[in-house]
Amino acid sequence: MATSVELSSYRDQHFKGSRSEQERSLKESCTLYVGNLSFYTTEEQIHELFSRCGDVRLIVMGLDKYKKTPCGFCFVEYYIRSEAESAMRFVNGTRLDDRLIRVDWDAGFIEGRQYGRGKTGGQVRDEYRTDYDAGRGGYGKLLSQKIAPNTDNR
Amino acid sequence: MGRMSERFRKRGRESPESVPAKRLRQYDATENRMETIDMLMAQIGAFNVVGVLLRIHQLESLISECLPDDKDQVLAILKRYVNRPPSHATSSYATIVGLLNVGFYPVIAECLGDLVQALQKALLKGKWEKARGLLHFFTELYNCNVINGSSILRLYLSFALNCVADEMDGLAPQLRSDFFAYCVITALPLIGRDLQLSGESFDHLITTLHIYMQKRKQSHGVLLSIFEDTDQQEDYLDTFWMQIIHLRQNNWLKHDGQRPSMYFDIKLSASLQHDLPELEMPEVNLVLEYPRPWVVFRIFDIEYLDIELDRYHLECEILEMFQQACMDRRVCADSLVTLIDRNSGGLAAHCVVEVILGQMLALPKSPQITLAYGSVLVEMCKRRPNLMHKVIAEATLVFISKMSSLRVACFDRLVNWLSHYMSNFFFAAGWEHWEPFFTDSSIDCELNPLAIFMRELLKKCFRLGYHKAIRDTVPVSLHKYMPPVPNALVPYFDNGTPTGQLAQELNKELGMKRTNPQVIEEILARSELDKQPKIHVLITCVLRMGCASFTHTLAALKIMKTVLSNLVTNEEDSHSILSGLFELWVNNEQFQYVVAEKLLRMNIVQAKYIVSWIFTPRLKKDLTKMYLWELLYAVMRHIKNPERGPIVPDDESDFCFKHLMLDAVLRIVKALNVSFEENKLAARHLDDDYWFKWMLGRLEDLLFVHFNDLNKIKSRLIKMCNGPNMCEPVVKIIQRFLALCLKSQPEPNTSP
Repeated sequence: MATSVELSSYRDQHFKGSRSEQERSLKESCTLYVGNLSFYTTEEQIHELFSRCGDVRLIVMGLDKYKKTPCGFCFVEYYIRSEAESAMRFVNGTRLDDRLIRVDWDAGFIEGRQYGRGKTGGQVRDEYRTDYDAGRGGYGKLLSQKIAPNTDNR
Repeated sequence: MGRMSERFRKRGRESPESVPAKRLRQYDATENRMETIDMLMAQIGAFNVVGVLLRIHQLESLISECLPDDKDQVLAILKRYVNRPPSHATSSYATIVGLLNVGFYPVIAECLGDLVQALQKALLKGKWEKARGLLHFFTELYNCNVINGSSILRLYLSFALNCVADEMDGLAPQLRSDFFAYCVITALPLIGRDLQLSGESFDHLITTLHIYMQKRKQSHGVLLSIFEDTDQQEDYLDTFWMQIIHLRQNNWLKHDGQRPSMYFDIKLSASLQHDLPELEMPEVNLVLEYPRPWVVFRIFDIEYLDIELDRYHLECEILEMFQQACMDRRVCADSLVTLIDRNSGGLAAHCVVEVILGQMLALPKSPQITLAYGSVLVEMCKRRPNLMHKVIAEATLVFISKMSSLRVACFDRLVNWLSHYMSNFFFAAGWEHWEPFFTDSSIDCELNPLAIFMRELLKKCFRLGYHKAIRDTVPVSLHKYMPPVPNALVPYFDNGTPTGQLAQELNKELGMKRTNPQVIEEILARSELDKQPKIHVLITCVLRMGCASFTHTLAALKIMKTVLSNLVTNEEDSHSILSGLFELWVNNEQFQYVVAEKLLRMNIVQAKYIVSWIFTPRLKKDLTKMYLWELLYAVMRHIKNPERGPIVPDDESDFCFKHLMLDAVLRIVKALNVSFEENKLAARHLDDDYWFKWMLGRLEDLLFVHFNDLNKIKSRLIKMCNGPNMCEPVVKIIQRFLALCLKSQPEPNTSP
């Protein structure tokens, strides 16, 4: 995992623009993507942790596309870049709500991005997971469908 | 593609126009060797280097080979490294120079001349760390038989005499003289034993330093120490000077034997010594910023490190390591853990924790944000869980046991660090060890420092963690310090009253899918309530709508922004808004602070009104809680850094900031003066009034946080001190700050 403030290898595939445009905006951005959150972690907890690096302008919680409940990620925007850099340095890979959270640069929040992109509404990674993760709804969505077949008889 | 370009390059090189191939090969070989020298020098300077002796050997032979042909290049590399050596590598670099001195006496003579000039330049330009490093390097050069005793003594003496002369003139800032004395005093243990033999001239040096140490004024100790009882927290220079006296009385004891030069003793003794060229001490320069004084921070008694200056050198190494690597906490933790392992058997872990926490709590302010220190400690705990958790637990116990003397200006940082540390380790940290400190019934008082600490710590833990999970880990005896469940407290409005009717109508409209601000305005216009109650009801309803999260609250406020901005025109209106907010979220201080800050950024409430709100009598008790100060500093940051908000011209924001800061200072001072008089009337001793003590500390905190801006309000502060009705403790504090300000930068003589 990258510890410093450099860009990680992840690139958002839905970015509207060329790869170099994307990289440029990542390098100037004050917005961070925060991942591997528990579904139960609140915006206020995130605010408390991230405000220790500087003043937070905005937090956008990631939501399940259908249920509109938190699905384990968020965007945190700072007013100035250097404070976002501090978060990359000192928060990435540390614990929030007993989970090691991932912090990465983001090109900036655009309406619509707060929703999970998986088929079932959550994040894609929660569909294919095979481990049991209590903080993120138990087993992966696909696996849990197999384990407990839908008993809803509607 | 790669091969092609290689071929092309080769052909290009061999073309007849370019350098002949033979000379090129030679050139390549030289370049290679220079790279190797550079690499080896860098390796020796790296932290946690192993095989230093081997590398010194390699360097000696390599440089000896190169020197005859490429003197300039080699010297350039050499000088680059010794110019500002990390303290742990000084001895190794000096050994290399010493070994070269055996065969290349004239070259080293030239090198020494350059180094003296570099020292002079560093002093002239105010590169203090570099100057100190160079002086210590000369000291080691003496140990490596490169320069003679009289030279090094003369060098020290020129520093020491300058201190005394400056002190007598009274024109130079004391920080300058302190720095000169500091350089010499910290170098002496490395060399004292030998120099003692030179008799009179050494005694002269010690006497000169002694005179200076007697005469220098020292008032910052009280201001800069992290604990108020200063038994272990002494001024840095006093501490080191006491050790010099101690060492001298004990014939300088034995000094740590792990110096590389000792292994080359026989060879080094064969060389000739140089006489150092004279160093011209630069004139006093008032524009330069001199190093600030500090207080040695100690929480552990480490007996094996009884020689203070040994501890000093270990601390220097830890500090340099931290400063170099703290931007990458994993690398930093790796090197610190290696340092601890290397000193196993000793108590290096204690030293590391002490240095990191000392830096984190340093006054006027820490070099990095609190999280930077905390995250390195967390990483170290992951690497050496048993050891590090134990040492941190010991440190925490020291803080808890000395809580009543902890400076208020360090309080927030301590609580923030500890809560973050705990949240990284399941909030499991030593509750049961803390419990005994809280059994005393005298702690039950709301204003007891320990009670305040536990209360604020738990609040911060709850902000970071999951309420129930933490509740389960906290022992029952400490439950009384727990904050209430942080839900919104919606006030009851009786429908029969005009207030209730208004609330009902507002709630109905706000509950619509698309709230129309115009309709809200009409509802408000219809209501027969006075303006402020109206605002109070409105903000309560709006905030209630958005009480699910910050985002919901902000969305609700955004819709109502124009309505609110139009309504709120003065201080009373603003206070109505804030009282609505504080009442609804009385159980959630984070909401109070964050939403109030957003109201400022949305231009609904002005900064000055938030400041006056913070100091309203109804919040007097809450001033012992962290959130109001979080809010105050956030407001001041916002005004100071317009780049964070709407763009305001620099001058204007500077003007606003100055006024805001002065306003805050005046309000604290006023509250203190009132409280002082009350105590006097009630014949109560000030020591029994913790609120008073806490507020004095908060005044200091405010001044420390904005230490670099103090110059802007300096003249007002001076005036304030001379004003009527000022209580003595407040005047004392302001004067100390002014003294520290002046010490850093003496008033230039600009009498008209």
